[in-house]
Amino acid sequence: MTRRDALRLGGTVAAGVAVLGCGGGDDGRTVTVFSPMGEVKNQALARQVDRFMALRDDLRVEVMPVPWDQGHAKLLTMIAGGNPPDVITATGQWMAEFRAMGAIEDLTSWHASWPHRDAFTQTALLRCESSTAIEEGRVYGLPLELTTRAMFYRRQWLEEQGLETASTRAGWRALLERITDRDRGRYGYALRGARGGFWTWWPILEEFSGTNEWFDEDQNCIINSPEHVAGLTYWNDIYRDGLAPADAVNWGYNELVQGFWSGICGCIEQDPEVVRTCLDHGMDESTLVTAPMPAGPRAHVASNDIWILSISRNAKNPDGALAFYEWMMSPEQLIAYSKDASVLPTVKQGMDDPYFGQGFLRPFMDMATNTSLLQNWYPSYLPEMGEFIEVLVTEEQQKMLLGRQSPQETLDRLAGFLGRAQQRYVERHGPDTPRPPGTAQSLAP
Amino acid sequence: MKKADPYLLLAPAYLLIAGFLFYPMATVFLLSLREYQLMDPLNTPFVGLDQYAFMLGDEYFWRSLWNSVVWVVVSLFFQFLLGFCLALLLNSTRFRGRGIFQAVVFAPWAVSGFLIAIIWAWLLNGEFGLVNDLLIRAGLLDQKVGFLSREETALLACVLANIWFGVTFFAVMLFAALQAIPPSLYEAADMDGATAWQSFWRVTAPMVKTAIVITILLRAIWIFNWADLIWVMTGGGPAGASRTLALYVFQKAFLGLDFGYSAALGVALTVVSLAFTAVFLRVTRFYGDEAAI
Repeated sequence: MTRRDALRLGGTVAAGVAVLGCGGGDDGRTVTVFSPMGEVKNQALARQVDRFMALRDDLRVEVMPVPWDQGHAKLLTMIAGGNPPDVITATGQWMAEFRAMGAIEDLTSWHASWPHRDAFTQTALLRCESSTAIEEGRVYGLPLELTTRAMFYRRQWLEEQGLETASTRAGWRALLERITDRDRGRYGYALRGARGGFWTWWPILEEFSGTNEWFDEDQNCIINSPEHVAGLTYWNDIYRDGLAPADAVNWGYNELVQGFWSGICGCIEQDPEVVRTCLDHGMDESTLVTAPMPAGPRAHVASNDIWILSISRNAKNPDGALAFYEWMMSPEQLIAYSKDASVLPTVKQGMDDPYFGQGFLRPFMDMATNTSLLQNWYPSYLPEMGEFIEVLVTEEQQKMLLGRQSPQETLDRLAGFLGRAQQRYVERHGPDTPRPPGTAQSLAP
Repeated sequence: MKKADPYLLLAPAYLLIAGFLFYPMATVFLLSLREYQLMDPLNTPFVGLDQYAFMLGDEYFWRSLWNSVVWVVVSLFFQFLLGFCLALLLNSTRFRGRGIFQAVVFAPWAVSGFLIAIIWAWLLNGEFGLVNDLLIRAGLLDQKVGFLSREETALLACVLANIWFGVTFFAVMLFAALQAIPPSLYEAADMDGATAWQSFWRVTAPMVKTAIVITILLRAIWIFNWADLIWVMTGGGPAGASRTLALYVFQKAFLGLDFGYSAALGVALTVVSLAFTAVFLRVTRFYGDEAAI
């Protein structure tokens, strides 16, 4: 069995499992759009598709909605199995990897004569460049939306205690203590103890250490430094001190958001589309307030990213895919989509739109456009990162939350795993690894 | 030509079995001999039995295997015990309204595992779960317990949901077997002066033994391979306390994207199932005392 055969075999098995149920015809009319952005955004994109199809009855565009936490694995298996979707929605963190696999079409020649090529904001274009969606003048994808984290609070709980939203981590901890009332079943924070907990505690470690670097010059992982440990201790203590529900050790995204809007927890940090979820569950200006993320002792961190729309290099219907792409990426449609999904727009025209600059979305806009903040980053180029975030981190953080190991021991284990992963990567690809944004290397001309 | 006829007639069946059973199994085995990280698909070196060697030293593997044993044995014991009692009850002619009960009792089996997991996760919720509320009202608990968030109780909470779900399968199978026992056997036992207890051990038990063995075997393998209930209820947590081997295979493949090691774990899962089947059939003397397995 040759290596290529093994690759094909494995990929086919994987893709067979992954794409079961994901339809798609070969009639030349069908365009498939992979959408792993979460329910609110997937539905908003599907409504855009409906509008497009009303204009183009010669095409049938099918949205393949996938929960975001399964998106990466599913897209990967579809591509590896030789059955990619025509249009791909991917986060900036995935871009380098899919480009390295040769899965993304080069759109440079189309983009050169596209009338809206100057419509995007500087922030969105910078994220495109740091994600390699745009590299050395070549265009592989354009920004669909900006995404960032901000804090959601239950307004009444704050008002009862005469509190304002917190601007520092120290103030935030004091706030959590004040609004927690276990006898009434009220907890300060909807803590993410299970899958995806990494996304909430890693920015805190960056705030406490003041850096988004993961490795030193000798490729040793530095995330177990005393400053990082202090950050993780801060997060762990929230749970250990009873400021989050005991069940939160098993909470993933759904339980977390539900824990907030159902009134068990007083605050949660999330992406802007959760505003829509809260409003759909009966919250309004009298019960909900959003605020920028609090700043840590050494840095104020923005968990920014973008969602990018690209076309698959092996699209079954490249012309139909480009027709949809061109229509969807026009400023008018991007703004319509952003309003529908309650997310941040990527075009200059949207910056002047009062819809995004006020109300619940204002803190998100402030976080996303403030270029002085430290940019959250992690080494997504390492093949072991899926294993790291999805299996190892969950296991180790739960052991810590349950008191079976200290934050120091937790980070020692995680740093050991990633240090070995980085060494392997350097052995194969050389020491010139991707670097976090905002470092000397990436700022060099 | 005549000699070849049987083989020609059997060929479609052989091909189907080869295509749908042996080919995927062989593929998984071959995959287990390669390092296959989906995130690095152009680099899949042949590593021989390295991943099996790694498995032997993998603490997650051994813990998952032990959890699987607890998950199967405890679930199966209570499913069988309660299922058999239920079948006897339904089979009793003195039980009024048994027609209605026969229909209602099988309902859990018709509910999807996913839905069962959600229902039980809500019942056992640490903040506003019904079970906590009832236990506190009954004075059995002082304060709320997070059944799914404590290492000592997470797996047993999943087992509880599994028992509720699986009792009815045993009831259905054993009830069918009980119905097949000719009444004349009980009449003969009666005439010989047998007590109810003796009738049960000397007539009922031997007559339903085959059904019991087959049902236990089937359920044991199904439960061993069944991961969705635990996945939805606890995600295998906290800290792996409720992670079974089947769930570990899933996590390695679709969360960790390590298809090579996941395939090796899958092969281990199959080997354990086969070994259990062989031992179980021998211990229960399913093929008779003298027959070899």
